[in-house]
Amino acid sequence: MMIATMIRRSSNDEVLMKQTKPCCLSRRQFLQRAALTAVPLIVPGRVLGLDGAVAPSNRIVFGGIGIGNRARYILPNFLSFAEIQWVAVSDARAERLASAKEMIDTRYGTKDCRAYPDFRELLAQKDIDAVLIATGNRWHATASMFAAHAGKDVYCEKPISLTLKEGRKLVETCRRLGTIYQAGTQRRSTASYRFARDMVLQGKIGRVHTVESQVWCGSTVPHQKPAPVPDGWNYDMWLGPVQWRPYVPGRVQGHGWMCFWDTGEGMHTDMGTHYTDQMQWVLGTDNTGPVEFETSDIVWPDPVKFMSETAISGTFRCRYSNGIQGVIFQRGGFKDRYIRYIGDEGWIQVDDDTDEVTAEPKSILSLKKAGGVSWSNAGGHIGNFLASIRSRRPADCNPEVGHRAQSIVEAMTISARLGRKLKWDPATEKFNDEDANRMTWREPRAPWCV
Amino acid sequence: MNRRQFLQRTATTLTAPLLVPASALGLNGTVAPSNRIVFANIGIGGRARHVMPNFLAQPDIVFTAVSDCREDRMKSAKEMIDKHYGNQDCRMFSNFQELLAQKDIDAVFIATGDRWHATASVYAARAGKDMYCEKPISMCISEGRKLVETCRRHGTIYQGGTQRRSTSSYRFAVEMVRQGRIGRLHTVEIQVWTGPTVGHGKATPVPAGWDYDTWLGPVQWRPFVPERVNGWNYFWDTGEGPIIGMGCHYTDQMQWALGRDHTGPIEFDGECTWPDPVKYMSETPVTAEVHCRYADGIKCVMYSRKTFKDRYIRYIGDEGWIQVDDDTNEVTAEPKSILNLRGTTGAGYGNACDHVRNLLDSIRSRRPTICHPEAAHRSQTICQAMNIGLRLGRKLRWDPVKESFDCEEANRMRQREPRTPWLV
Repeated sequence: MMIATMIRRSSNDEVLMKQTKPCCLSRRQFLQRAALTAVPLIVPGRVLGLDGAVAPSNRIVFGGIGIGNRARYILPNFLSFAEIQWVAVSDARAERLASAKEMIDTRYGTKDCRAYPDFRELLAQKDIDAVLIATGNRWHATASMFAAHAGKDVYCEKPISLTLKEGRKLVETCRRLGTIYQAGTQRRSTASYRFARDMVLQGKIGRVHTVESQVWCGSTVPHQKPAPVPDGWNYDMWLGPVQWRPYVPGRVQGHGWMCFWDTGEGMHTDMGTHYTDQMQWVLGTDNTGPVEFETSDIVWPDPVKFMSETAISGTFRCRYSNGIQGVIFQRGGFKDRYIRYIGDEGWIQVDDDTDEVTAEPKSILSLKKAGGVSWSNAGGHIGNFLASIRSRRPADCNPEVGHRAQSIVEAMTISARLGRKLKWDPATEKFNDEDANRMTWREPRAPWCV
Repeated sequence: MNRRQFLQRTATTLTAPLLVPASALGLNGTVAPSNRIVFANIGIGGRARHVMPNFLAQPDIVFTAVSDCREDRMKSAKEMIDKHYGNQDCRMFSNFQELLAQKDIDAVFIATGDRWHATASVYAARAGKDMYCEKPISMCISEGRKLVETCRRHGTIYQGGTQRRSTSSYRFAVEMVRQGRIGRLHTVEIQVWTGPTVGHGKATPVPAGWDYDTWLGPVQWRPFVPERVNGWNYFWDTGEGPIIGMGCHYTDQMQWALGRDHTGPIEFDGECTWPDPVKYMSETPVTAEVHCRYADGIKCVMYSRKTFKDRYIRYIGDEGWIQVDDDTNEVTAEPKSILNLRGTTGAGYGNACDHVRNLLDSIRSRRPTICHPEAAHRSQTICQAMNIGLRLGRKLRWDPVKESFDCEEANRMRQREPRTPWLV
C-alpha cells in the first residue's frame, strides 16, 4: 500500500493525515493514528463506514503466502469481501508473485500491493492482520505456525499438515497464541454438504453405520532427469522444510509434487481430508477420531517406470470406537468423487463434481431448499473466518478440527505404507505400533523447524 | 574376566589370600586381564568381519560383546569371537544402546553402514567409550563437527578408520613428500573407481531377523527395497558413492601429507555424470572429476573413473612425483632413486593392525590418535564439499575457519536432519 509506505517514511502524523487517502488505511494503522491525533478532522463519509462502505478502520488487512493455481482460484472469493483489504503477496516464484500483485492491483485499481519473495518479510509487516496460505502442501503447517508466531490470523488451504505431529504442533501453537485459524476445508460452509449433515443428524437415514467417500485415481510420474532451476524460482525456498534434492521438473511442477511422500501424500490425503472432515463433522467427533485403520487393494506405481511414490488406487478404511466405519475409495476419475452416509434406514450422498444430493428414501430430498453455491465457492467459509477474526471465537474449521480430519488420512497413509492394520488411540494420539509411531513425524530441514 | 570386573573382584577379595595362575598376573608374556582393554562391536557386516581379526590379534584387548540389527550377522559375529577366545562369553545386543550401557566395556569398534557412523560415535562418546569408527566418519559436515565437539567434551579417544595413515607404503610416500624429495608439491592426484548404478527395484517384505527401523536409523523411513538396502552406498542419505566412500582415504592422506589436519582447501569445482534416472534409482555420480585448491595454491584433483583396481594417490612436485597404487600397495616414483630410501616393506591397506595399535596406545596414554576426530572430520569435509558442489553444479568457495561456503544453498546442505529419536 502506498499509504503504508508513506506512513513508514514520515514521522509527522498530522501532515500524513492530510496527504493520505484514508480509504486505504488499514485497520491497525487507523487505530494507531486515531489514538495519536487528538485534533478533529474532516473525513469523507465512506471512511466512517457510511454509504454502505466498510470503513478502512474496520477492514481486515490480508496478505497471501503462496500464490499458485489454488490461490488464484480462491482469491476472487476473498476479494469480493468489502471488509477485506489485500495489501501483500509472497511467493518463491517471481512470475507468480508478479501476476498475483497484478491481480490484486487490478481489483483495487491501484499499484499498492506489495510483493515479498520471502514470506517472513510479509509476516513482519505490522499492518497485516491475517494471511491466506496456499503454498504447496509441504509448507502449509510450517507457514501457518510462522504466521501464528507473527501474530497473524490464518486461512490455510488443506491438507493442513503432512504429518500427525506437525498437525498437533499447529493446534498447540494456535491455542497458545490465540490465533484464529480456518482450515481450507470449505465444504463445511457449502449448502449441499450442510444439508446432508442436517439430514443425518435429524435421523432421516436412521442410525449411520458407514461413511463412504471416493476420490480419483492418483497420477504417476515417470522417471526424469534433473534440469536447471528455472529463472525466477527460489528453489531452496520452494523446498522449504523438505530435504534438498535436484530440481526435477516432473517432481516439482504441475501437480507432480503431490505424488511424493515428502511434498504431498497422494489423492486420498489431499482430497480425502475434505471427506474425513465432513465425516468428523457429521459424527460430532471433531476432538477425537477413529480407533482403527486398515487399507487394502493398494496399487503402487511400478518403481521401474515411475518415480512417483504415492498410491494410484486403493481402499482406505477406518473404524470408530462405536463401530461406525469410514471408507475412502481411491478409484475412478476426477468427476466421480462423492461422499455417502449410509444408515440402517437409507442413505444420502453428495456428488462433489455436480454438487448434486441424492438419497434413499428420496423423500429426504424434498426437504432441501433451492439455491446455495457449490464447494467451488469458498465465500461462506471465508465469511465464517472473518466473523471469527472479529469475534475471536474459533472458526468452523479451527486447528483441532482440521488436525483431526487430517489425522485420519495420514493414519491411513501410514497403514498403507506399512501394509498393516493399525490401532490408534485418539486421546494420546499414538498407534499400537512402534514403526507407525515413528512415521508420525518428519524432520523439517533447517531452519524450518518450528 | 575383563579389566573392570577384575578390579572390582580384587577390591572385594583382597583380604583373603588367593592362588592365581601366572597368566592372570601378566606373567608368561601374556597381558593380565586387569590390563586388557574391553572392546565391543557395533555393526558387524562385511567390513567388520574383515577388520575384526586385526583387533583380535592384539593381546591386550578382549572382545566381549556385539550388536547388529541383523540377527544372522550378530550370531555369526559372536561365533567368530567365541571361537577366537575358545569360550561362549561374547554377549549379543540387538540394541546398541544396551551395549553402550554395559559398564565393563571400555571401547567400541563401529562398523555400521555409513548413515550410522557419526550418530553411533556420538552415542558411544556420551556413554564414556573410546572408539574406532570406520570411514566415512560422517554423512554431512555439521554432523562431523558435532562429533569433533562431542569427543573433545568427553575426552574420548577416537580413531577414524582411515587406516592408510598406519600403512607403511603410504607413510613412506608422505615422508618423501615432507622431506622434499619431489621438490615443492603442487598437485595431489587421486583416483577412485567408477560409481556403480542400481536399477529400479520393487519393495519387498523386510526379511526375517532384520530390525529394519534400526537399520534405517537416522534416515527417513522408506519401504524395504532390497536393491536399495544392499546398494546403500549409492543413495544420498545412506551413502555418497566412491568419492566419499573411498575418496576420504585419499583426502585424509593429502591432509596428512600437507599438515592440514585442522583446516582444508578453500575452493571446490567439478563435473560428473549422473545415473540415468529412467534406468537407475541410484543417485550418486558415475564418473567425476573434481578439483579443490588450498589457500597456498596446492591443488587436488580427484577422478572417479575406470575400475576398482585402478585406484591410486599421486603427489606431484616440481622435481618429481610419488604414487601409491592401492590395489597392489606398490609405490612408484620419479626420480626412481626415491624408492631406494624405502626400508622393509610392510603390510598393505588390507591390514589395519597398526592402526588399531595406534588407538590402543592412545587409549592408554590418553593422547590423540593418528586419525583423531578433527583430522578425520577435515578430510571427510573435503569429499562432502566436493559432493555438494557436484549436486549443485557450481563452483564453491569454502572458509575452513568458519566452515562455511560462499553459497547459501550449499550451506544448507552441510546439514541433514536425522530421523527422531536419533538427533544428537
